[in-house]
Amino acid sequence: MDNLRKRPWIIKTMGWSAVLLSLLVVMAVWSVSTGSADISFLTVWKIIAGGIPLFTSWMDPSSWTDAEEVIVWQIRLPRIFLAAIVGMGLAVAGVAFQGVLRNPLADPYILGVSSGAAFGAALVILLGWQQGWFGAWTLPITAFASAMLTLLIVYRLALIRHRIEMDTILLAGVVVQSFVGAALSFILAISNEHMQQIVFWLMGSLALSKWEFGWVVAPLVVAGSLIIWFFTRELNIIALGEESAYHVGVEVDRIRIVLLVMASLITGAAVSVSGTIGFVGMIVPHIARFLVGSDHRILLPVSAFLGASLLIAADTLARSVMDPRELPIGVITAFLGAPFFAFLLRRRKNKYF
Amino acid sequence: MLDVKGVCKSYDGNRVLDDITFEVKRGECLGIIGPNGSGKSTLIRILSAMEKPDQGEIRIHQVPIEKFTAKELARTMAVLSQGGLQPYPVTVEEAVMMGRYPYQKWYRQESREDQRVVQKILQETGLSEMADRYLDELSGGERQRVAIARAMAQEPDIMLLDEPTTFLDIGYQISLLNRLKEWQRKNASTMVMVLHDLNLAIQYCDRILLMEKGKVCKWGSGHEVIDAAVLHRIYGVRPVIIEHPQLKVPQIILQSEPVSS
Repeated sequence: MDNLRKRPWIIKTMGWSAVLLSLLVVMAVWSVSTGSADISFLTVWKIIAGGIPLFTSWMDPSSWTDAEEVIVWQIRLPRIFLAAIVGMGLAVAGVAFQGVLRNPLADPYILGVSSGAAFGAALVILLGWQQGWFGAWTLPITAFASAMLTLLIVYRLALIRHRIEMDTILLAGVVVQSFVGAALSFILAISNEHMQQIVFWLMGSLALSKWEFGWVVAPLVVAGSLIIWFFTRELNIIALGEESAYHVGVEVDRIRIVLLVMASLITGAAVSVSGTIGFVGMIVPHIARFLVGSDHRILLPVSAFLGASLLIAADTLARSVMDPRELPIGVITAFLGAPFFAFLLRRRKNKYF
Repeated sequence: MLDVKGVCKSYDGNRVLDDITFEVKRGECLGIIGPNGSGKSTLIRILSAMEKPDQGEIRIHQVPIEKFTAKELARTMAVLSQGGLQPYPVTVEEAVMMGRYPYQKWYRQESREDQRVVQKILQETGLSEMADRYLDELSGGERQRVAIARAMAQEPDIMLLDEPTTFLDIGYQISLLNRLKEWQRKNASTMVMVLHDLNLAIQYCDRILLMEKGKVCKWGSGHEVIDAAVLHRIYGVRPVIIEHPQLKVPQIILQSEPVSS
């Protein structure tokens, strides 16, 4: 106990995680009970309980139809699961990018990394390589590789005389993002894809969710997030300046590479199943910072839970506000994120975070 | 303790450092002075292993500096660079605790020993009462004090300081240098500092290294180094040199008009 009292961040992390985990559950419950197919709240939960081995025997399968069961188990639940994983991944990648680049406006979308990943993923799908060298992993791995390549280009563009300026890297991101976005639209257009596909990749959507997607992406996102979490103490030190971090023994260059690679891996994995959903990686860390402060050790897990909740909420809105039509989820996040970005841009006078 | 032998460094064909050789003994305080562009900052960057010299070598405790791992080096030598600490919202105590990073394994959290050292240093540096304040609420001078406390928490044998008194008013300058000297005496540590203020350098340092165009111009005690003709050549001003009434060391007085000779 004595040890714990001296490390308030552990208690703070656990407390906030408990609160946000509850929020996540509430969001998931709301989301699974919402949808264009009119299934009552009670029925939904009977169906879910009916699918869990321990409760199966208590439930009476005749109280719902097969169609309803398919909707809940094969459409809504995998979609919520995927929304949680993608939201978590984008938020964690946002924390990592903001921390490593020491730039409060960085996130995978603004840096162009998401677009790069989407380009790679779309290319794989168009060429029909989904089951290529790495089996089911081909898609996320290609997305990761192209995300990494895009980040490298952005980084090189912004690197002027061994220094990266805050604003230069954002501009470099914008430039690369618009180019890659155009290239993506171009290849989709010449391959006679439906407009819907283009919108999917550019604005993001979770409409095509399947359980299999989740099982491929989840391990990548979780592993990447854990590795980033191991370096949160270093991120705190780097936040006080890279040179001073070096002088207390932090291997800044090596850690920067590890974190950028991990953030790109997570982004690639998330984008390969959801397209480019913007602004999540930027807003979530800021909300988390507002709640728990700037200590990355707390910030990272809190952002992960918050990101998952936020994306479930955004996705539920995307499929319910214009019911029965569905909005791309990126529309919802951009409606939230763009004004937020503008607000941060105005507020950023002398403060970094 | 710290041996520098024949260090050379060029950027794009320009010699910035040329055959720099000196040593600093245990418990000694060396002041590096020289005009802008004389290579002081480059020398500090090379001494702190941020950059490699083109030629020559640097040894700490007889061991070549490149043999140290990042953490080993941070346990042996603390560096206060010009950048200082950024105003990021972490508490003063957390910032000082970062000085214990080189003593921590990646999977371990701070130990009891780390806690003890940090508390002791907070007390000694008079930061205890502001331990819970955030860095972004502090003034530049206060952040500089935190940076020094963090460097002390590394429990180094050598402390390198690159113009630690820049941007501080005279009150802060003196109290900071006094605090450093006291720490040095107590721990029998070695200090190397770049100072712009020649008078402070002469008062606080046991030996002075005067640099000129990337070379060592003079190296010795204040009396040996301070010479009106040399200072005129290097800085382009004609100073008046007097003796400090109490400390009996040479001090420099600048004058706006050249002395008629």
